[in-house]
Amino acid sequence: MSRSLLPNLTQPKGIAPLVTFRILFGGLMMVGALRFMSSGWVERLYVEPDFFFKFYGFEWVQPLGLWGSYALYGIIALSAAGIMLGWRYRLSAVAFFLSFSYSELIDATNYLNHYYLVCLLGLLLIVLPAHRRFSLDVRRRPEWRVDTVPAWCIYVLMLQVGIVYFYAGFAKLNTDWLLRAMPLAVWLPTKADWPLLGPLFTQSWVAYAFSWFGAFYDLTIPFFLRWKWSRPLAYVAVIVFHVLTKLLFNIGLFPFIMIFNTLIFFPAAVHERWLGKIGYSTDQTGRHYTFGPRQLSFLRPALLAYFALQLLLPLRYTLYPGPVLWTEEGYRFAWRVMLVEKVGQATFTVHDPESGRTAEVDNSAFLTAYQEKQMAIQPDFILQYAHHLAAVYQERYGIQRPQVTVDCHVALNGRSSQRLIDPTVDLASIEDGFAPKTWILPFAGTQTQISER
Amino acid sequence: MKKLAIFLLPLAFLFAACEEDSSSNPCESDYDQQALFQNLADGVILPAYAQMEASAAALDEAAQAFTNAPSAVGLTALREAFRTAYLDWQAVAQYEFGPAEERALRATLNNFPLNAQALENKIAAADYDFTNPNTFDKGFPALDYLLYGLGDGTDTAVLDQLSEAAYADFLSAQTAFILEAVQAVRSAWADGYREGFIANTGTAAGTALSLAINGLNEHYETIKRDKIGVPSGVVTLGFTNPAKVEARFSGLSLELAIAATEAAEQFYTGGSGAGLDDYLEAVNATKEGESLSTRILAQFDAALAALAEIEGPLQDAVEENNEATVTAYNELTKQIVNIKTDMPSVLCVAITYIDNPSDSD
Repeated sequence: MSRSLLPNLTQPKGIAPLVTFRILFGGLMMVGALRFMSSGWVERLYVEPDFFFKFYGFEWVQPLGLWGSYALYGIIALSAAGIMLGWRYRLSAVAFFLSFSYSELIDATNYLNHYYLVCLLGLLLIVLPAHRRFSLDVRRRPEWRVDTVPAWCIYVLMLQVGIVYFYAGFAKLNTDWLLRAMPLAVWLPTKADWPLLGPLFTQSWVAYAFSWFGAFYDLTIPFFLRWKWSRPLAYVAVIVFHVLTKLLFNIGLFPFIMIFNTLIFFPAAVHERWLGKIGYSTDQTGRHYTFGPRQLSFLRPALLAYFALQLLLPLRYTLYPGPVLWTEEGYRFAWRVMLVEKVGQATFTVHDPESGRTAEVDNSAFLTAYQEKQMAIQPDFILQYAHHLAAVYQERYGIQRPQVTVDCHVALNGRSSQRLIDPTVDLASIEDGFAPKTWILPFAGTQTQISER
Repeated sequence: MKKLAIFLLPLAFLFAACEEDSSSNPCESDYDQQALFQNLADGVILPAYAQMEASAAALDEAAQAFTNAPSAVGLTALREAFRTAYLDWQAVAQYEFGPAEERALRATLNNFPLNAQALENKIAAADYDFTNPNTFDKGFPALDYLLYGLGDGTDTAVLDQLSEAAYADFLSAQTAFILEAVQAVRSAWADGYREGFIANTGTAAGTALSLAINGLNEHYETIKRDKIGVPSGVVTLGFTNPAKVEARFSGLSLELAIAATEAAEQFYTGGSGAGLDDYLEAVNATKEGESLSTRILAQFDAALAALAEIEGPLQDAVEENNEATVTAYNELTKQIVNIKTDMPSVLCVAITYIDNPSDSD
């Protein structure tokens, strides 16, 4: 087992796992984009809002309007289909990565960990030769067909999936999750009307069992999937776990993404057997895919840097004071999934220092209900929105230098609320950045992530 | 197995580091929800609808009598019946779920401020359809105008104009609609909704608990914003909007706001029976070291006291002594975090997985 932890990265490995990955990922993303369009979410998320929250550094991303947004989703669906079919694969993968990422950058309100995962997998797929077998590209250029690829092409996907699980489990090692069974203790009882299992969901011990099992599952499943003796059982666990979360929570395609992704841990022979049922031929060509030296001289440092970043980003919360579930500094891009039941209320006041007049802001005039809900619990959104208000009041009412304060109360995981933001601070005069936000008020109470001060 | 131990180690650490007060499931409670819902239905909501129906019937009767034979005495009786019905309405306006929500009762009966021109057009067109929830030309605000605001607003001018057939017919059509709408909602409660409401236990979206808390909050926000906030100019840089008060022509605005706030308190306490306050006490809800339940009661008292300090009518108060109105607004506002954020959180009403436009994770 220790040998398999330090594998030979360049040895030839059957390409079949990559082919499966490509087909399932592309197909699922295509379905996802079509589902997004047919549910009317394009209008609701990209057309209805007047204001869009940005990711730091991506303020330049602009909404595209009704037809632009549909065109973007059309590109996502088509390029996902291109990935699935292996048609003009590199072009499809680049188009998918760019279009999908752009759509996620339009409004940070809609951030979901699994959308972030899709962006990352899209990026990795660009460099992986997943189209070199059983694809339209190979039908067009038979000389492209290969039997094997360097092992690292498969390992990078395993590593990426493993990182997601491991950090998702790591994030669950906090006192609310383990000792108060929060937020599952709030969410599970809402399914009390289920047949058979329903009455269990109102039991306290069930919330604890789910919490502890969930943490254990996330932390260990990549290793159990990697070890061949535990792999079949581990994959059954993957299916049960994700189907259950799909039934319990409104988490869209995430369960399918993970059920599909984890197939990458199975050896090529297993993939060949299943792919054979849909016409995958095991005829050997004797060809191995090799990267050129110039490609490798770029890919090696790039992938090293990429995974270093993937390993470090989820830990950046340790650089900020206070519980990350409260301050949300270092919260995103860290696989913090389903960790909080948080409800907030933010009342903004715009002050005109010259006339001394003040106006309380009706958030519903500027934000959609969902945006307001998300804004009220996330300090960086509160800051962005305060800047937006300052700009609007400056333009509409000719206030020269509007000051904006907020009275913001947030309740975390079944507690009564506390003030999140210093109500005396003029948010309009504060610029966002990576430094700790001193205007976030400390959390009063016990809520500790492991390794938090 | 060695690897397993490495992962379980941090868990052991957590236990060691944890303080005792944080280690229990805060959603565990054996509070009897059905008893609460039964009292809210039988002790608070249904009596309020019964009273509303009686006063709507009296109002309609007075309106029909006036339409048949307009007189100054008839107008006085009509105005009195209007006042009673409008006050009783404040108690039921917050139950905007189930049958009332289906009929958009609040929007069809009390969209304000009135668009008087639209109302005049409606009268001229003899348009007696009062079901559009998006217009501001009907319901109690229309009656307020008809009974107090016609012509130059003097008693003789009102009497003269309201005696005209077009106005008198519109008046009785409007009061008949109010009666019919209230009757419909009350009978829907009687014909099964009550039983469903009481049996609808749990903490998910759509349970009686979530409906009650949402209903309370939604209407409380309109008290705060529409009845007091907008007229006092807190949302408009301190420029007051006296014309936007709830009952501008009769001058009942303040009385109505007080009645609505008292009704909210009544809904919260469940009157003499089980209420949300008892539920909060059953789960030992505290905020900043004190009982959340008493904190909410104290804030209702503070808000009502501040409202009582305003010298009505409200449209004059915001012009002459807006400070008192702004103070009342602030006291009303302080309650919102208690009932809208704290109460659902400590009662473990799920918020995250409802009303998301797309997925969550």
